[in-house]
Amino acid sequence: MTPTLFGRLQTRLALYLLIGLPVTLAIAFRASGWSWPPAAEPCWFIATLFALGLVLEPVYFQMQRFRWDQDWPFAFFAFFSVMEFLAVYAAMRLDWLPYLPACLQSRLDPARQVPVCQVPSLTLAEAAAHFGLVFVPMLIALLAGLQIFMVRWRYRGGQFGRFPVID
Amino acid sequence: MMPIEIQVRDAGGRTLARFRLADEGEYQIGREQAKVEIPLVDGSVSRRHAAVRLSGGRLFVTDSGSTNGTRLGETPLGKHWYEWLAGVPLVVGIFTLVYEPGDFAEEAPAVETDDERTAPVPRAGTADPVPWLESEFPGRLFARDTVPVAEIVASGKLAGETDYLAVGGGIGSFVWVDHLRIWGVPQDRIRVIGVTASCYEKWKEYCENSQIPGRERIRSNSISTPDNLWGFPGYALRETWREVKGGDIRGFRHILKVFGEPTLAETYTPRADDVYAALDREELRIGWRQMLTFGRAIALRKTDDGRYVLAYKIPADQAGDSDRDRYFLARVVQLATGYPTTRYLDDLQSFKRQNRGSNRVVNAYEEHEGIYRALAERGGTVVVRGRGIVASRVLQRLHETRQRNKQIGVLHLMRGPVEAGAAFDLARRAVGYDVEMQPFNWPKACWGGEYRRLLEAAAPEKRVELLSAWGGTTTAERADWMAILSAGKREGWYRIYFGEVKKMRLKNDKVVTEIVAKGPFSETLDLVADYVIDCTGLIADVTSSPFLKDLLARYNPPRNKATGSGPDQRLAGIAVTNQFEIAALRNGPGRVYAAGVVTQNGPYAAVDSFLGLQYAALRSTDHLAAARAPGLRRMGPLRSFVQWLKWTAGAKP
Repeated sequence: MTPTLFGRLQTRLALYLLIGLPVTLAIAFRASGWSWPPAAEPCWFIATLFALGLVLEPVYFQMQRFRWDQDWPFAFFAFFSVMEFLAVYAAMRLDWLPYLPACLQSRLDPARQVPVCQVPSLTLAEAAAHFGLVFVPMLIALLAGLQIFMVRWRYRGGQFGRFPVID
Repeated sequence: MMPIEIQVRDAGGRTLARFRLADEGEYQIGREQAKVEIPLVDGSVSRRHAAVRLSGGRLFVTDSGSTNGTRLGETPLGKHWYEWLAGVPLVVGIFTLVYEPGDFAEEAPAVETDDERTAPVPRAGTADPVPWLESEFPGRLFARDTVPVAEIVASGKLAGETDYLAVGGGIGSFVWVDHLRIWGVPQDRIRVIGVTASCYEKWKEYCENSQIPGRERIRSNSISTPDNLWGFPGYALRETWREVKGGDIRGFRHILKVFGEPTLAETYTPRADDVYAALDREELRIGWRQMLTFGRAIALRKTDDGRYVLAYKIPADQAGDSDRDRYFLARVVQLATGYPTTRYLDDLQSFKRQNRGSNRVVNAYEEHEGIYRALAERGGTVVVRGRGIVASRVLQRLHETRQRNKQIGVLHLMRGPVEAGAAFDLARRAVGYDVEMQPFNWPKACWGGEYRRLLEAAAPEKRVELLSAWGGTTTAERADWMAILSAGKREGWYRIYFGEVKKMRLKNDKVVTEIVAKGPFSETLDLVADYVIDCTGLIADVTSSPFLKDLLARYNPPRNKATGSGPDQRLAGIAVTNQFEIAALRNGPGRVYAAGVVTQNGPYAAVDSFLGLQYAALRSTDHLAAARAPGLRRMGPLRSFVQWLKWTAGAKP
């Protein structure tokens, strides 16, 4: 991949809309027993992941400028995606995300008199499964899916739409 | 003129009837016996089905709006006149009409050498500006900017008309035609004038001469697929699929390479044979052979009705010498004529001039198998000039030859050591073994990333600056090739020299290369060798093609700026718009596009790569679609997906 900055942002937005959103809704409804409202935690989790990605894309683009080919290998995409996931998960566990507390329900440990988490909002396994279900289709879409529908996408550094036509 | 006899055959090949056409003029084919000259009585034939015209001793045919249609060979006929060549079956309903060449010409044309297919031998100092127009075909008819269509028709040499005409017939033409077909243009609205049956023949010849036989890998990306405009499945996935299906689990290494390249793995590159096979398949799918007319382009002119007329010569084995001249009319023309000739550096040119017939000095793109054969038998010393990808291939081949004869020494001559790679923005190109390393011949972002955008947006002066920064001779970082050089240095049969060549001469059956060494002393050295293989690459000079030279002289379209010097020289291509149109040739609704090396140093860097040709085709096809050119639909996600499914299924677009 040789994305441009605008292409990076557009592609990320499209991937989260096309893959992240439906997968997350399915997970959230499953967690709520297929009843309204869906569980909030998976939604907040994926939204945070997306927001972090938008902030990081300009950073990645600057890193790309140090590469002679100005490319971004798929391996990099995979590596940094996993890093983003771990960062968001860690932030949640550290209770840095006010809208996504690490723990939904605590009890006081009678011996040591400290709160112990009884119902974590997302376990590592849940979060990792969620991430995996979003990430793997995204990687496949980047490798194969998008260009089948968007013939110009790969020439435009990941931007969508047509080339400007000047007569 | 001899009369022509047309035979009518049934499905079993039995001749049912014969019709003699003695006079020039039009002959109707149809079911109504009283009203047509060639009656074919069957329900599958319309009352007025088709018409044949005898003109200038040649036959033309058109469909007269029949119910079931008319086919010439595999081509369904439209309302235009198509030339009906001898031996090609004309299918009308249940009948097949044919005529033999013997029924026609005064005498069978002698077999002669086919001047279209001469190898790319350098022709130093080509002909003067178009003197042949005065005397030879197309003569005075073309001695003006705009040619009246009436005069072309009156000449009797008009072979047909079409909406889209691709001139060249190589991979550049093929990719453009492939796009047109997938954008919706039917087969019978496209014509290709080319000199080879398969689009990749010329390219294959270059590959083989520069030591890339079919089993070897070319320097191209997995998703640069001229047979598939989506780039999916790429060559890596196809190779993986084939090997894994065959039970070889190691096949997964190909897609793992694509995943990790170029940082964690060597860049994946496809096998030449796989590319040929893929192109064969796509040629069949889009009907390439049915659209192809053998011919060598002579000249192109605007016509007075907003079209273009191409003058071309058909091969000597298809017509007598005086009868090889043809015209074709088209609304939209694409020029992708490729490398006009391989050009030598100046000192090599003078050597060739002074020692005609000597095979001691060759360009790597020329056929030079004899050198390896002679080396394998007798041994000897070879000077390899240049440091590009072809040089590394030739070194690899010499190493292979050394396995059969150890008495082979290699002197590798380069202009100077490479201390540091080229720099641009925040990046610097890697260097190793005195060569700048890069997976492909341009930084990857030139194909579809930030560099593509930058170059397109830049003014001509800025473009030259950018191209100079990104260009230059490079080779791919490959472990096999580097291992050979290390072994060669260690074992003493490979030695590097840095210097500028002053002159080459022949002495006692050896080639002496006089060089001025690079460095503080500038000492003069004589390299004595049996052979010199020049790997400094192809220099594309559009003026060495008579066809392009005439076009430039006639319409004077703006040219791009030249860049570089010596082996890195890139001469001025014809200026094109960002949509690859030669704006100076616009003729009312008519348009001329170009692709490939003809457009070098323009809005796109990698014009002579697979993906570059695909890009040029995409931009020009989109441009035509936006102008609502005939037959073209707009390519949105749904159409793209449906067409991709058809590609996958091998169905016609």
